[in-house]
Amino acid sequence: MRFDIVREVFLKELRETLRDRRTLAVMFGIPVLLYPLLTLSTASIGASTVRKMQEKPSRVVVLNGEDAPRLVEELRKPESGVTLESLPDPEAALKDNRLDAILDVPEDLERKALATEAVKVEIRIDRSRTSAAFTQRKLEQILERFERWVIAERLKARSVPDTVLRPIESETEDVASADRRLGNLLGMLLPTMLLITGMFGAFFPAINATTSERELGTLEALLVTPTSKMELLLGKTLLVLLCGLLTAAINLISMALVLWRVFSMGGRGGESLGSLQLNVGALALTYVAALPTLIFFAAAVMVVGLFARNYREANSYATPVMLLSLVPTYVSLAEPKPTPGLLVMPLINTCLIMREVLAGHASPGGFFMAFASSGLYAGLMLSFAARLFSTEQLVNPAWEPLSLKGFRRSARPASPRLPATDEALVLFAFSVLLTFYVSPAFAGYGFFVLLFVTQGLLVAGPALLFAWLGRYDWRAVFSWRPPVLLVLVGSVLLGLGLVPWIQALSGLQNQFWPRDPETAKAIEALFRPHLERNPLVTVVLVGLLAGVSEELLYRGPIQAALARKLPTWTAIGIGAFLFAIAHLDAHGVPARMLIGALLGWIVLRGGSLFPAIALHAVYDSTLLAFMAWGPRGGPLDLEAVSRIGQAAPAHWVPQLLVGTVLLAAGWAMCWKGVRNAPAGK
Amino acid sequence: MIEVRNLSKVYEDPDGGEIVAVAEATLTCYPGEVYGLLGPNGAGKTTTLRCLATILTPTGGSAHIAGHDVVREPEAVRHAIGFLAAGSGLYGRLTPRETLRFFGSMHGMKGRALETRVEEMLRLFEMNSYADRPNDRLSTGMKQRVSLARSVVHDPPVWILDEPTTGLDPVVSQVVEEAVRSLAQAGKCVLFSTHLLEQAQQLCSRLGVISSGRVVAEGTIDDLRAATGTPTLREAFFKLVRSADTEAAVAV
Repeated sequence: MRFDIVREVFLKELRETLRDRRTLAVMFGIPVLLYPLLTLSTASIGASTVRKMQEKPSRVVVLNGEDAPRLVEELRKPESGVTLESLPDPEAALKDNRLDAILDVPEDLERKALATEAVKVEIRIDRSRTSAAFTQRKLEQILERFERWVIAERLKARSVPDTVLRPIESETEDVASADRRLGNLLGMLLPTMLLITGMFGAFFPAINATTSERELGTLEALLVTPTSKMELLLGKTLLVLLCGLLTAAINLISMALVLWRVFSMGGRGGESLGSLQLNVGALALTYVAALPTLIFFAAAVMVVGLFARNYREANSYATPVMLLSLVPTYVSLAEPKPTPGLLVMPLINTCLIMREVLAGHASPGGFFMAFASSGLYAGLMLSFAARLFSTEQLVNPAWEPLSLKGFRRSARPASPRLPATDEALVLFAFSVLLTFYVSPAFAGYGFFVLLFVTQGLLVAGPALLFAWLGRYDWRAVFSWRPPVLLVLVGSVLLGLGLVPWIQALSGLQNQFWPRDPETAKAIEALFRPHLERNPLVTVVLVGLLAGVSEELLYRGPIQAALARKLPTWTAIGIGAFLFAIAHLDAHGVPARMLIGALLGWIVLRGGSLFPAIALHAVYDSTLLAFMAWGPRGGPLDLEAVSRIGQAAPAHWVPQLLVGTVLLAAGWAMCWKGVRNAPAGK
Repeated sequence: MIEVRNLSKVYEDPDGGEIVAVAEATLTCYPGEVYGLLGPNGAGKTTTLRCLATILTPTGGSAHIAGHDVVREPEAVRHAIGFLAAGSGLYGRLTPRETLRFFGSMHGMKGRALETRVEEMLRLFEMNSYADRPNDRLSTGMKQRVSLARSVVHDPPVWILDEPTTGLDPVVSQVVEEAVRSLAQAGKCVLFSTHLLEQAQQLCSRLGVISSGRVVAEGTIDDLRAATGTPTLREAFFKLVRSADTEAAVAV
């Protein structure tokens, strides 16, 4: 690596960027000018609206007011913020916005209340109006004063002093310092703003450094200089990074200043947050926390730029990538606790730790965990960009890393043919979306109908339809070949042996990433009744259907397409990941990836789908069999294995031992068997 | 200076099978000569030249430029060649001077040596009057001069041009042709691909006819006419291309 060359490439990119007014406008113009102006005007409009609503008296009609003279008296007080109206049709008036509320007083309210009877006053408001909340608060305060009066009167009648009701005087004080309260608010807005703007800032320079160079034909000229591709990529990435980081930094500063300004305005008006000092240290630390993710985004937009053949394509690919930066919005809304599991989740970890830093309770360990894991993801994304940059097809104008031309019917003989990666990804998305949207509609028709529809029509169906429409070579796509007996038997043993081990692994996972109890309950509720009623049918049918259908799809066209271009283990890994995420259960992703990878290996190396079907079916059936017949506490209690590390009963050891023996035997048979198998690829 | 032996480039067809872009091409190009690679569109000219320029890696055979192997010593090869293709563009926001400086530095030139060379190029290609104007604001002819100068700024012994006059009017084409002649006279080895017979006839000292990925004949124009028994280059060319197509069809 020659750093003077890297510097020259960087300077060239910088010079071009500085002469590109559009990029400069996005980088500096938006945060420095437009965005504070917008926030300020919205804030001042918001503040004045609130003040107006608070000050404006609410128009109220009291029905049957003569039965509650004291209440009406309270309502008539000038400080009540209410004007009493008398309208012929109050209900209609409420609908037409000529009235804010109706107070429906029951018959003899005051007399009954004083006679210690329970009574109920009804407030009717129109919640579709913003002012409804203010009206409601005012009326509730008045009713509370009325209630206190009633209680005082009741006690007086029994000659009891009203202090008996107030044994302790209390005063609430918000322990959060002004800094921390502002921190919370910033925590909601900043992660989103920081990441979105960082990505936007990196976008144009990245496209300029990649797609535009290809379109212009200058990339080819660069590639025939003695400069290495890595030197070129590094110089380019540094500039893209600088733009992203700079944009994010300017936004952070601008946003902090804007917030400071909004609050200092608010302080002069009604609600004050006290004298606010922005904590520069926390803001700087927030930025540091965002660094690896900003690098990740910069690399991601570089990847987009390398994939795209022209500016238009880059824009359309960028949209889904940009959506990634919206993850923080979700995190701010959900406000989850920073568990170790979440602190290593891509993107989520950064947003979480930024929020923690701003709210003033980030721990060094948590910070390091989020920072290091994000750094790792950034590194992976960068190396992906490097891989893409080093492909010799980069300057080929006909290169189609992403295309949908596979479905085009041509006059040429179609077979033998394998699907392309992008087609397989579309198939995957299609099946997942079908399962997500369509299967709930069949929930009402009973378990077995749901099972057939989901597995048969929504998983296997699309795979078969896809192969038929694309006129693919079925034997090759579905690995439709007779299995080697040894591999088949080995797979069955693997399916059996995996059950306790997967249970144990997911138990270990629970230690740092607890499973959502709702999901566990939902699974239990889905299977339990049928396991009690028809255990054998349920166990066999679920295993068989899941085994056949899911293998047809995931180890069929999806894996075949991935394995066509990618190295075997990359194809197996991506296939396993798709298989895992399709189950729409985040906690189960690691376990399913493991199983998916094993299944992928068996199909690719063994050359036949049948052993994978057998493994999958045996695994699922065994799991259900444990649920059906494994009584709690007995030696077949599978739950016991998942409680390793907690108070686990002693029989988890024999279960894992049996599992290990089965796995070893199964693995040995498969390993030996695949050597005799016809080439799977 | 350029020695190509049985060079092949085979791609995997996305629809299965293989696409043979270059099949065992063999050619030799010496210093001081303009070698024309003549062939119809899709014959494999661009792929061959891209293999020589180390942009693509050949799947078979060998190629040496200035004594360096294109696969084993790509960096040394890139030092030795200047490359210009029809689609080569310029950075719109840089000036001709900055363009030359940047490409010079990419070849490891720096300091006074780089500045002197840039000035020399500006003078040689008569670009002084617009040396500091952004490339975006130059005429096509001016841009072509910048591209030519850019490709030889590091003074390479070998110059590879891939249909450099495609899409240019005769006046601008002439700028390119003059540059080719003068550099060949200066002792450079120039490999020049074209599908224009007239251009090949006027410019090239020797020709290689390429069709369906194969170099089907090599020699001076007289050699080609004699070998095919035809009176003109045009007829010789058609005869060679037609026979190559028939052979390719038989081979398939």
